Amino acid sequence: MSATTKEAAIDLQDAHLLTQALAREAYVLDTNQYDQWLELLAPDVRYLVPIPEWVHGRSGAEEAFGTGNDALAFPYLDETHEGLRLRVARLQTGLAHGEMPPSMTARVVGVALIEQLAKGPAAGTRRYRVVTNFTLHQTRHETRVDVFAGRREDVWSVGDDDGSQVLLGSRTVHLIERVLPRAFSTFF
Amino acid sequence: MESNTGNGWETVGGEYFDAADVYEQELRTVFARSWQFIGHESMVQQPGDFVSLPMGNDAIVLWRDGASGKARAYLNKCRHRGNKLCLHDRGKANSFTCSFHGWTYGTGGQLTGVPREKEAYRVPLDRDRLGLVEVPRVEAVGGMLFGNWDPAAPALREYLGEAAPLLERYVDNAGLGGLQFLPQPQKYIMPVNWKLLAENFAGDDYHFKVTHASVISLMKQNPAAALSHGLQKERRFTVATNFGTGAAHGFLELKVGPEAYEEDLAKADKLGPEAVEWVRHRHQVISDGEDDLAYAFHAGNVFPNLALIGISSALYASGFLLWIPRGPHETEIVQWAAVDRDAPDVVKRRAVMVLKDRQAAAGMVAPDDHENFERIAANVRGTVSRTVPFDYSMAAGIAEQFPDPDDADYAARWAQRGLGTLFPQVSEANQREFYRTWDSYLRGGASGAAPVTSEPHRRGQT
Repeated sequence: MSATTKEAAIDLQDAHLLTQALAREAYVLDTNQYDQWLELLAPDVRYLVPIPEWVHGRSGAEEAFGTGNDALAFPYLDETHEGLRLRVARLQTGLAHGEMPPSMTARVVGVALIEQLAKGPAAGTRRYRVVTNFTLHQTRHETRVDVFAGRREDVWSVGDDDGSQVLLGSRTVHLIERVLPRAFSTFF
Repeated sequence: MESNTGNGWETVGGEYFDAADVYEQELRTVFARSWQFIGHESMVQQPGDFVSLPMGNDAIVLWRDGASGKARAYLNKCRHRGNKLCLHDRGKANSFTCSFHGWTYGTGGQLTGVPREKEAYRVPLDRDRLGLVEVPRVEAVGGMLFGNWDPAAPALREYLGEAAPLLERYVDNAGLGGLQFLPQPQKYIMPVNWKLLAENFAGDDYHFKVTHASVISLMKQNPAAALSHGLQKERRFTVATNFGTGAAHGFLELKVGPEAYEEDLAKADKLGPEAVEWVRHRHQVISDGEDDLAYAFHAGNVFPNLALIGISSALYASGFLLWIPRGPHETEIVQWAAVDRDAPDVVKRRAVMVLKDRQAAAGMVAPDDHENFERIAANVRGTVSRTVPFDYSMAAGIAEQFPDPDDADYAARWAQRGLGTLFPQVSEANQREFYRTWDSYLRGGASGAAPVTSEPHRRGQT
């Protein structure tokens, strides 16, 4: 027996709420309900999309995806709630040609690995590490379908006064594409 | 003062953005004989440091050679069966060994190891003949490295001409420590011919207010997100270097007047005294005692395929974008962020985030450009559509470029500096210049300096 083959049981209701939240997130993004998406994000959310690369001399997962702790980096996205809100506001100006007409998208989110973390950010809340793979299929023109794919390392919190609030506290999106299929204003 | 006469490229055929034979001809002429950006000294500081990057549609490795101390550029290709040698984006290695039969090469490009050589080859292998294929010409301006496959090409400094002092002053200024490149470039595809991207950065300030209307609208609603572009009163110009003569390198939004500097000071004030002091120091170094000099330009294109963005501000990282040709209808963009090495960390971090938010893969500017280019690319594929030329006639043949006498005076003074020829902010002079230069390469010119004729190259003619 190894650590890999032993799983810590987690609260089934929390697991259910988290998988519902992941599905809801994909749904509101695929249907361009950006304001609802912003509501799923904690006020102090960090949303990071680093650049994947192969660095000689690193090993294991870091060889391709780095440590995410570079003092000075040029990621695709490294956003606060305000940064994401600005991006949403731009899409909602009615002038953002890159989403006019809106893209047709389908986000496919894989089964979630859920692990409870030490403690929640506030009393009465519980914190979870949630790891999911995803693909995002995006169509803007007649025949071209662009695909983004990767792994998301999230931290979500569950619970508040009535115990049902689910919020995304942080997300790191490890894209598996060295050359992205397009410039993008979509969210993963 | 040059007048903005037409040069024969007031129209450009749609077929030049579509035809496979034109594309192949570009690879054999423009990309085989012009100077192309292949990295920066700061990417490979120690012996053995390397980065992998494209040059034209070839894969190269920029590698710091221990023996010569030079940054050298090699095809990323084993001489035996052509296998890819370097498999990482960056790192440090004293040798590369091919994964096929094990041939090994050192930082000087020499073939150092051939497994079972005596047993298999019987006679000594001529290793000198089988070293890595090296880019024969690598020269630098500032720390910016350019390579050229043509051994007979004119020197880089001659090729850059009036662009060289502009780059050394505004982009990679030794007085500011030179540039520090962040190691990871963003990479993304734009499904359009590379020339439309290059000419856009060389000369098209005209598109900003329409293409990027969402960003302008956003900054009106959110002062905190304000971009400086287009909302100021200062004087702005387009710069054409080597106008009508050599290789055309175009620069946009040359900012004259105190406003851009004052805006940087105000933004720096929110970051603290260290940032304010840096903005002051940087301005002093760049202006070098010349009160009348422009604060900066914002964007540009060094022919053929190096674009620059974000040069306009101390708080906006310099974006270096390579337009890598991947087919008549596909361009790969390799985009680095660079900052002044001597800048305080608070400025560096802020500057990189600003570049990320604006002209970058997930910025608020590039996706709208992407959309227009993708639509254009689809339109030049139609059999009839590709026969309809694009129009570049803006103000061609208009002798009086500047209705405002103050602008005319400034342009005349600027011309005496040897830093290029000024045109109005909204102009198509640089696009016409881009195609003049492109045409001269397609005709067989080696320097981009082939004489301008009134009869531009057309398909089927040589």
